[in-house]
Amino acid sequence: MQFEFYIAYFSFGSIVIPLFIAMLQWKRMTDELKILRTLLIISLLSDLLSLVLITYSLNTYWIGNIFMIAQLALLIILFRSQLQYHNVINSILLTSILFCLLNVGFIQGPFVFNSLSNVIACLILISFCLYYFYHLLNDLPTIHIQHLPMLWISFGVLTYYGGNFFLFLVKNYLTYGETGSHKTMWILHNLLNIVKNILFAIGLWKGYRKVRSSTLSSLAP
Amino acid sequence: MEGLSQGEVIYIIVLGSLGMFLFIAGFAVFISMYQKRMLQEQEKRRIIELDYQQQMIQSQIDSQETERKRIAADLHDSIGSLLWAAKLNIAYLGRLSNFNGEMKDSYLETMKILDQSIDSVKRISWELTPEAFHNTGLSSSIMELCSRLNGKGQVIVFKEKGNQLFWKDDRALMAFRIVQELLNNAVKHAKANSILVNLNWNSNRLLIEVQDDGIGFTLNDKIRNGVGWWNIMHRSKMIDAAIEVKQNHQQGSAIELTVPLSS
Repeated sequence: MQFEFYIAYFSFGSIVIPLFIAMLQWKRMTDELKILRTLLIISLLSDLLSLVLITYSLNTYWIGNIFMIAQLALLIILFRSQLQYHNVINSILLTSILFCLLNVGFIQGPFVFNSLSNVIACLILISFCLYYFYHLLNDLPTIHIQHLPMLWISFGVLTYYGGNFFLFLVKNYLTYGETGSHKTMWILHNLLNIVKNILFAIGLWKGYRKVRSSTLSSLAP
Repeated sequence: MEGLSQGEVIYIIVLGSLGMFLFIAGFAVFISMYQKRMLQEQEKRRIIELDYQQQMIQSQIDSQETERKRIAADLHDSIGSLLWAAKLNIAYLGRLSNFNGEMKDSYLETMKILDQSIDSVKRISWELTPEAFHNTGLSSSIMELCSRLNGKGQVIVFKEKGNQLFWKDDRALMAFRIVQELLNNAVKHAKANSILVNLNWNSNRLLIEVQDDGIGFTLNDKIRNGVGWWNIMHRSKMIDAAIEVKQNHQQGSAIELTVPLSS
């Protein structure tokens, strides 16, 4: 098997790590982690469906495009739960989802990679991450910031979407000439996905530790 | 790694490494910025807390001073006047009647008790608020305090050196209260035979020393946790004074207070 397939399968399998940690705290999750859990389940289902379609040599872009819209919506909702200005965030959510739906339906179509939607999703989510970090620096919600689940989740989102945006910018260079091909792009994308899932897993683990320590302290005599 | 050219592998390695480096650097920068802000915020909160505590102590000491003035005025004007009236009436009765024998003894005893009561009222009233403090200043008030306490079980000596300053503001009153508390401690707890109060005036500071030959006290002594010591510590803090306890167990103690003359 070729190297890029190892990376692709590892990227596909890496979703199991955060999902397993999400299972550990199924009933006692905070709202933001429940949103992340929903996203992980949708991601797993989308990957499984893609795998089935690939087996029958069918087009899988439409799954990726729909998943990207769902992911964008869930991540904006996740950030909305942490930030103020809900009306502004709701407007951004509605506008961006509407645009992505229009793009998948009428502009670029469902059976090609929706690069336009992807770039817009990247820009929106990078902005949300940076604004969330700014909000953390202003509000200073906890002494040990490294124990905050949302910090790791935000870093995961920033790494994945920031990296994807960068890949989009250098795409022409990476796929240029004989030495370049789309494989490089997909390997780097898969590596970003692995890093994102690991960071999500750390965030979920931090949430799990928090819930467990508060449960243990409430049981203490 | 079949299927990938050498150039592509290099791209992947370089971009992957660069991405990881950027991620770690970004994470580290964010955490350090956060910790820095957190420390700044904690420092700000600590200063606000200290300021608040200082204000609370100031208002506590102010209200203590106001209450002392009120009690002193009440004692002087009410009980003092009543005692004077009682003394005048009894003296009038003494002039009208020719007391003799046991009656005269009782009359003289009553007059003596009244004199003592009037003196006590005056003393307590003065100790609560030296009414002349703002007229006579720190030196004269401490001298007066020493002479009032002198001879009541201890010999209290007052000495003064340097260019005496006529110091009579609120900071001077705080310094006076500290000396008063130190003298009270020496009289009540130190079992001293002699106490020396030394005032050394310098150009920009005043060194006050209260020495006694009593039992001394250790840093863990209860006196250091009492209200008196609390008052001494907070008053000295409010006038930026440094306090030093020089102890020599079984051979007395010496407490040095260095007060800057300008706040």
